[in-house]
Amino acid sequence: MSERALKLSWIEFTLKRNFLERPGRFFAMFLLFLIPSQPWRALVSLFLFSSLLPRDVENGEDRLVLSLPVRRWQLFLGDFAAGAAVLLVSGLLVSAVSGSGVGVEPLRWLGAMAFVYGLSVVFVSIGKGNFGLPLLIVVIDLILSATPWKLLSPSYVGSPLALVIDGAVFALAMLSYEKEGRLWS
Amino acid sequence: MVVEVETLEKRFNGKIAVSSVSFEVKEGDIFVLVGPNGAGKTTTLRCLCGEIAPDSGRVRVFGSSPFRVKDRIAVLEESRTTLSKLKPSQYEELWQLLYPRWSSRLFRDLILHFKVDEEKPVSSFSAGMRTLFFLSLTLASGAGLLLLDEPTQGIDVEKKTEMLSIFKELEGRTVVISTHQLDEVEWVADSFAIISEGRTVYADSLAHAKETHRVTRPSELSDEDRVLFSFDDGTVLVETRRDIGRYPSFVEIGTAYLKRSAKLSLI
Repeated sequence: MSERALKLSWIEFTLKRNFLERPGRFFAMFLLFLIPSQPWRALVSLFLFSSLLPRDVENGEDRLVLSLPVRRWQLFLGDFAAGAAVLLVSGLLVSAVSGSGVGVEPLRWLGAMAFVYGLSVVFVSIGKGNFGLPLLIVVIDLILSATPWKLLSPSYVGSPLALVIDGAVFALAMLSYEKEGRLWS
Repeated sequence: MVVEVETLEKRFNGKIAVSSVSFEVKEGDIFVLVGPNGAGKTTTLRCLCGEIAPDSGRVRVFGSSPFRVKDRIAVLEESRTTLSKLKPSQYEELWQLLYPRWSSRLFRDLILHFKVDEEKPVSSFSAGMRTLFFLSLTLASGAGLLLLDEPTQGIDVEKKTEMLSIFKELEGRTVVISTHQLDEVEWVADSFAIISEGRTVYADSLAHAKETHRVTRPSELSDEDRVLFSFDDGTVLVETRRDIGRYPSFVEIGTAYLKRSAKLSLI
């Protein structure tokens, strides 16, 4: 195996592991993401992403993978890539079939995915669980998105500024996981 | 040296797990990390494989940070966590992606030898069978450093002996075994470190430790002998250069240093 291939093997490992371990979950979320509504898709994203790395961290099940030649940031990105790939294909399929065109929609989906994943990782890092509080925050954010807040809303993603917030939460979560949650203590 | 650990310290949520662990492991050695439950053995191994970073101190593996050489380290993890519903062949598919020197032939030989059921998910295996399965993955990885946390856990006596013999026969590979079962590993250990309450209390090669310690009667002692521990039968373990009494077993050395350390920490 070439050095370059070996350096990238963690991507294949994390994708393959996710699809072998959780096929039912990915398929269910693929179907649910077919419904074309940004608030709905943000919630579906939360259901999926909180059940990947954040749930493993909650149950101490990330330790097996971390004992292998996979680093924390690689596991973080790999799990995100697996979830994002499935949901993006689902969303793009709907756009293709309906002939509506995609425009900037995939960016909005990705932004919301990055936000809910980051939120779940941050909360689990501080011992507050992977799902309950992130769900509360996303629901409040989506309710507020009926107001001008939608421009900043990280789940609704009504403007490029919201994408910046999504990116910041994602980066913060990755740093937090890399530092074993110590960013907050 | 394949492994160098210097005054390693690690805390979890402010609580000290390891406060000052130091030892070195030579290439090709079978090194045993000995200590009671909660002494810090697992935390030390987690730092060695790059799963977590030390708070202070220095950990070097193959002369580098463990994070840089993860593909040269294979771990038998203490909790034996499994990947949900995956069967042995699926583990093989995944593991071979990460280890450049993976040997499918060795993996097949081992799971055949240990009579691993290939049709069942690994999560349904008994504790002993899980240990043997993960050990097969670890050995087949081709990694130069094997970190084995309680490798004899849940395994019957016959399989334990077989497994330890395999370690003894490995050529050019360094093995670190963490255990509290000293009697089981005495015949395979080349060197060891005894840790208690997060600190190294003694580290040495087994041959040198036996050469410099004796179990004897107090009446045989002279001023140059250092008494380390008194056993219940009235004999004492001493550090000495004189040829007195008899050579101690690994169990006696380990017990003496651990009990002595516990006594000192109470004073």
